[in-house]
Amino acid sequence: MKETRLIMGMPVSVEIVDTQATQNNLDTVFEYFTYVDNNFSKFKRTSELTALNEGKVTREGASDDMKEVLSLCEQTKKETDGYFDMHTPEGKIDPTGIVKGWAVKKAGDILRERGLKNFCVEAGGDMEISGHNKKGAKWRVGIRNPFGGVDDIVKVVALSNGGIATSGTYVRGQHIYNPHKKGEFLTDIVSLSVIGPNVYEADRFATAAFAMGKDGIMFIERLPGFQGYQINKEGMATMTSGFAEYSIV
Amino acid sequence: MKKVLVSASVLLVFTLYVFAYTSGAQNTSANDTITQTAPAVVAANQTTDTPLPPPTTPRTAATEPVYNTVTAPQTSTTHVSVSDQSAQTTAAASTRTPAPVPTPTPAPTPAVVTRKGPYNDGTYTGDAVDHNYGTVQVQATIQDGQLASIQILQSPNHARQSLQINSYALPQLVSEAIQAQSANVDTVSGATLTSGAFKQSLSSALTQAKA
Repeated sequence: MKETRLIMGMPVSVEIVDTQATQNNLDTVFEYFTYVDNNFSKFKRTSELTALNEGKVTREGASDDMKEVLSLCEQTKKETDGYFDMHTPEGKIDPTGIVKGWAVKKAGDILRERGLKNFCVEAGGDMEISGHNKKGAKWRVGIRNPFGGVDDIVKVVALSNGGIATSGTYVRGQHIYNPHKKGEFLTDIVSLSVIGPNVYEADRFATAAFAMGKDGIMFIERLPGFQGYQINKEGMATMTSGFAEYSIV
Repeated sequence: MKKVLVSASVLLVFTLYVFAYTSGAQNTSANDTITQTAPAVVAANQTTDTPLPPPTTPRTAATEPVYNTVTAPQTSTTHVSVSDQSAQTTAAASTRTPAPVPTPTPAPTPAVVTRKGPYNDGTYTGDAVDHNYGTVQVQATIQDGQLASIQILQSPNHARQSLQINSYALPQLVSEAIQAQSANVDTVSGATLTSGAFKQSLSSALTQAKA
């Protein structure tokens, strides 16, 4: 069964192949995403993130989930040499580069806890994948054409257990900057898709590696257990040495 | 006596070499990416430019991996003197810590000696030694009095002979022009869509709303 809802300002899709899946399973996952949106949205005046940024809540007094996310952000900052950084130039905290992947991974865990093994949970182009699709084969994931329409793809990968996340500028415009050169926006790379052991890992490294510009793909190459597909503004793609094992076209 | 010394020392060098290779193997096996972790923690000062590990320029086509042939290090970490009558077969690293030597010249020798190192030039075949996993036999080539290369005549793991022992594949980034694909897929991964579209749509609606 498959359902898509608009949450966190983006389409959230859940597809479960296991025959024992119930509507309740789907509802639980969507409720979880709604909770994440209410808690972590920087656009909602009532979110915990807004309260934190306005000083109404301290980090010590924050929820366990908030503490966990902040801690993961700091860990990722160290592991990416500062290229992932939850601090904005204005001095606010913006963990959304990690929250999306973290939430999708947790949503997958909700399904796993219920004994489900074959599913795909997706939010805004990042997905957590488990088992096989409804045809009994690996999940076929297309990589969107940065220069085309919503359904135009330029690559297809087959995954059975893991996550894939794509960072890009072609839709939201220049929203990713180089934290090591404040004020300098990145223009060379328009899209970087990362395959990892789960979507949380894929998302955090896709976000950080994207901020490295054309060096990002080498960062992914050096990361054991991750593959990447990077597209520049001229339409040239560069992939890591193990990526071909996943791609089918 | 001399042959025993040469064989033993060659075998020792080989053993150390294999040891050095296997301890480095987790970083250099042909099918893995180089397992360097990201650079160390950077101070909170975000204006500091911290260099990344030097990236390889993406190649336009897959290139051949680089192989290094087996050669012994030029700096003499093995201070074995064949002509030394007291038979000092120093187990190379175990009793003497190699000091960093700026040039590979050996210790000063008496003026009469014409060779540059402690050995006589030539090719020497070591004894075939039975190991746990099989038989090991090496052949050493001496040039200018120094150990110049080692050939593995017999080894327990045949896949690890000669070139492969000291070879590693550099990470190979592969490039291609993107092409539209028409294959059926279960889902599509791309940059987050709706925020931009939402803002654009809202913006146009608000523009229309202005009288």
